[in-house]
Amino acid sequence: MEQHLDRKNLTEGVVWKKLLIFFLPIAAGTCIQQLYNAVDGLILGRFVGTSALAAVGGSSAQIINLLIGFFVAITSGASVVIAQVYGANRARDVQIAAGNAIAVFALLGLLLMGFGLVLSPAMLRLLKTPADTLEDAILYLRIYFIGVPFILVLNMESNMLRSVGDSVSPFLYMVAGCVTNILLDSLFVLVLGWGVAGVAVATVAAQVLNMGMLTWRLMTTKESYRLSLRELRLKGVYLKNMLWLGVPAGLQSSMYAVSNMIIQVGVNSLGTVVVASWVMTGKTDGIFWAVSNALGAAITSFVGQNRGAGRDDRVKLCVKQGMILATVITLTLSGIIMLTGRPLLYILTKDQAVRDTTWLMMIYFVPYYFTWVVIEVLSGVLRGCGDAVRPVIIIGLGICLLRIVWIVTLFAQIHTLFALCLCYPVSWTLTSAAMLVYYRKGSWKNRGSVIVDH
Amino acid sequence: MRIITISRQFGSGGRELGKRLADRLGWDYYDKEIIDTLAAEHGLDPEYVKRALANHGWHNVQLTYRNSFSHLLYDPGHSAQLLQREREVLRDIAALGNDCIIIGRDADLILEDYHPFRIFVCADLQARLARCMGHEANRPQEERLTEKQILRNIRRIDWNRANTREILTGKASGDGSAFELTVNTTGWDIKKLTEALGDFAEKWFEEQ
Repeated sequence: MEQHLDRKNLTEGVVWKKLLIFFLPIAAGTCIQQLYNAVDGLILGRFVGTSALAAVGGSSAQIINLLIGFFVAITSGASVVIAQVYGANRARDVQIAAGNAIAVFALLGLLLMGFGLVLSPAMLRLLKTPADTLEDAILYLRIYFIGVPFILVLNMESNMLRSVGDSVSPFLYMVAGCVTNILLDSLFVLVLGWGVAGVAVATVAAQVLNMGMLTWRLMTTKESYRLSLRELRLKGVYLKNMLWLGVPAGLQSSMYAVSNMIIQVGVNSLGTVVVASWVMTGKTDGIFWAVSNALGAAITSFVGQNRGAGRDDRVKLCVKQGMILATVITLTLSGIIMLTGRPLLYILTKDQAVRDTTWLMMIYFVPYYFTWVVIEVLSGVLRGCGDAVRPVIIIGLGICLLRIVWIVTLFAQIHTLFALCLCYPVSWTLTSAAMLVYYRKGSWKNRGSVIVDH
Repeated sequence: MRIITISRQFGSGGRELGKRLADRLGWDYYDKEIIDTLAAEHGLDPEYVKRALANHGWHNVQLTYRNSFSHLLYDPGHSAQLLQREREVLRDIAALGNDCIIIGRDADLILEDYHPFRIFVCADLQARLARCMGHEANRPQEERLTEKQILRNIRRIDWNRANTREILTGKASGDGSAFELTVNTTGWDIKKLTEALGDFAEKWFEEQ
């Protein structure tokens, strides 16, 4: 752990090299998940069919992102509480706080499961899911919701381990979960022919396994945070603070999820082939976002340390070099995706219509990724300087709200795929411009300044 | 060994009081020394350490786009590690065995086994605001905070501190018996207050 901290010292050395060293491990971690995502899409798209792909990755995925994403983000608040109690060296209190956190999320998971089992059909209809995929989507979503208590508890547990300094085992368990998921996918879908249900059961099973491993780790550890079943109960003080600290993160995550949901309604209105193609595009798209977000995280850490050390010269260098680095990486990635996209699509699906539509979407999206660079870099810089609220507001207005408005006004009039996809590059460009203006104005400089206590 | 811990409202003058008390008693004094130790240990800057320790919750959750749920979306990063080390540094200080005064950092809770003399320093909001404004005047013009910003800071920091205490004690805050002495500095001359407190503390330690 000591080494871990020291290696992260970013106040010396060549700026862009430090950024790269920091960025690569994060990017590698998220890319593994994206790889799993792609295999998942391959099994569905190639061996089950277009409507199955649309059923699993369309409206269902958006509902999952909104509801589960909200609660998963709240687990970050719970881990702050546990980190605090753990640091105070009170073994018994740590057990109570940990037991409370797990009880809370198991309970929330059960409630959400009930909610999902009952309301899945209604939610999918509300999103105007195409009729020919509706039945599969309901089946998938219902089975998925059975796994929700496990998902919430496993996220709580891995956050808990990370906040007491163990980030290796949650990562290994996650990789094990992804591998299991792919193996079970193959078994249930390719061998047993269960179709959509097979994919859903494989996902739930992998999550149960992942949670099982984390729970076992927590129950057998000799550290003070050892989980004891007797302590699984609610405690008001912890509960209140976990929610206070976690709900803002949940709201932040919902902001995106809500706008994606509205866009999904637009996608759904264009039919099953477009929905399936949207899911396909999302698989390659995910790789870009994994890389971009990793770069943003690297920049936040870099700026945080250098600004703290009063090295504003290095902060300025970081803005400049980060911008160049991000642009180079993004353009390279765009190039690779455009070059390998078509052949890759032949592997991923047998449906010619889906291939063509996906390729069209990629042309609408992929070359314009670079317009996002300014947002990622500058919001990373601003967060590093302690101004976390404004970037969220700018992105909330410029990305999320703008897209919703676009869908209900422009897209409602010009009902084409092009009109839908266009809102992405437009919102990226406008938000980049807004972020640049805000950054240049410099009024954020005071917001992050640490007030001196007397 | 005798330990005095000073918990305080933001801007109440607890830090000045602690420093003067340490001078009067001739004891060791720990305040930003704790942060400096942490920073030096890891080759980080004290200001950064200070901010990482004050950084709670959602700031660490990245803005994500088409995020799925099992992402590593929370990175406690430095904050959690530094927090653990901060608590260890407090215990190291106590283990030195010298008489000392420790400002903030919830030392009264972390070091409760040492039975410290626990002081809570508060002041009226206007007095705290005036004190902060006075200090702001010494800063360069462009970095100076407005009255509104200071008030917001006062509220935010007090709120964070109260929440941390709640988490650490497992009880709702406002427990009067949590301190041996609570003092409102409004209207006091800090020098005179220091004398009174010094006598009080010495008497208290004699009784133990």
